[in-house]
Amino acid sequence: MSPSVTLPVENVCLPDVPTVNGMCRTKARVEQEIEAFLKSVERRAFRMAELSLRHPDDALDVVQDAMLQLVRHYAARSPAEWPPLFFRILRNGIRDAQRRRRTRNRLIPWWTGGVSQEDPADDPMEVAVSTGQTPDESLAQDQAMERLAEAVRGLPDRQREAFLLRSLEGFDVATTAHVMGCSQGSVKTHYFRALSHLKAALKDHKI
Amino acid sequence: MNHPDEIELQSFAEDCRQRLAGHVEALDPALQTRLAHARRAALDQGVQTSGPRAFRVPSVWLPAGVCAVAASLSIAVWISRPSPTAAPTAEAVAVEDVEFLASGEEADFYAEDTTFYEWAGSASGAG
Repeated sequence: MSPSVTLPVENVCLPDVPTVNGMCRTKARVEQEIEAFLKSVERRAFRMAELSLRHPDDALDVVQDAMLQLVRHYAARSPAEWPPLFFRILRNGIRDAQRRRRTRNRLIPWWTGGVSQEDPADDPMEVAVSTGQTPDESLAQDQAMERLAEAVRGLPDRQREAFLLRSLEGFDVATTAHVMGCSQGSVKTHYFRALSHLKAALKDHKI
Repeated sequence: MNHPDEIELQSFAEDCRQRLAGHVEALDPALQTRLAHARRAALDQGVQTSGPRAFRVPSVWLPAGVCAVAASLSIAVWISRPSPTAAPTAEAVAVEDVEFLASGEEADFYAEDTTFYEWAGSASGAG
C-alpha cells in the first residue's frame, strides 16, 4: 500500500476550479481571492454607478448585482480577468438602470396626467444627507467635487463611461475598449471629448 | 503630445483623477457598511448557485426546441397516416363483396378471362 500524500492547498483540484499557471486553486481560495478583489473595487464601482445614476440606492443595487454576476458566472476565471469582466457587467447594469429610468420618466407623466413625480435624488438636501458629508469641514472641496460630479453627469453616456473607466478605475485604452465593447480609437475620441466638455463646463471653477 | 492645449488637458485630467480618488476615499462609513453587506450577500448567493450545475437548457434554445419537437410530431403523424395505395384490409374486401352482390352485375362480366386464368393456374402447377 502506497503512503498517502498530503497535497499543498494550491494543488488540490476541484470541479469548476481552474488552474492558474498550472496550479489548481481550492474553492475556498477562489472565494478568498474574489472577495479580496470585490473589496478592492467596490468603492470605485459605487462612485461610478452613483455618478451615472445619481441615486445611492440605485447605485448600490447595480453594484451588488454586478458582484453577484461575477461570483456566479466568472469566479472560475483567472483573477487577472476579473477587473474588465466586473466593470463590463457594471457598465451593462448601469445602462439597464438608465434605460428603465428613462422609460419610467416617459411613462409617469403620461400616467399621472402630466404631473411628474419628484425624483428624490434630485433633492440636494436628500443627496447631502444620504452621502453623510459634512460641508462645514471641507465645503470648498465638496463644492468642487459636486461641480465635477454634475459636469460628469451631464456628459453623454459613452463619454462618461470612457472618462470614468480611464480616470476613476485607471484602465488603459485597450482595457477600456474591451469593457465598453468598442475600438480603442473610439475610446480615445470619447475620452478626449469628455475632457474637453468637462474643462469647458468647469472653466470658471478650480477643481 | 507637446501642444500647450494638450498639456493643459493632461493636467486637467490629472486634477480630475485626484478629485475622483478623493471622492472615493470620502465614502461615508454607512455606505461602506452597506457595500460590505452587498458583497457578502453576493458571495453567499453566488457560491450557493455556482459550482457543478445540472444541465440547463439555455433560454435562447427553448423556442427552437419546441418548434423542432412540434415539427417532428407533425412528420410522425403524417407518416403514420394510412396510405390510399396500401393493400386493402379484410374489412375493405368484405365491403367490396357486399357492393358486388348488391349491384346485380352479371357474373359473366367478371368471368371473361376464365380460360386465361385456367391456363395460368395449370402452367404454374406444372412448374
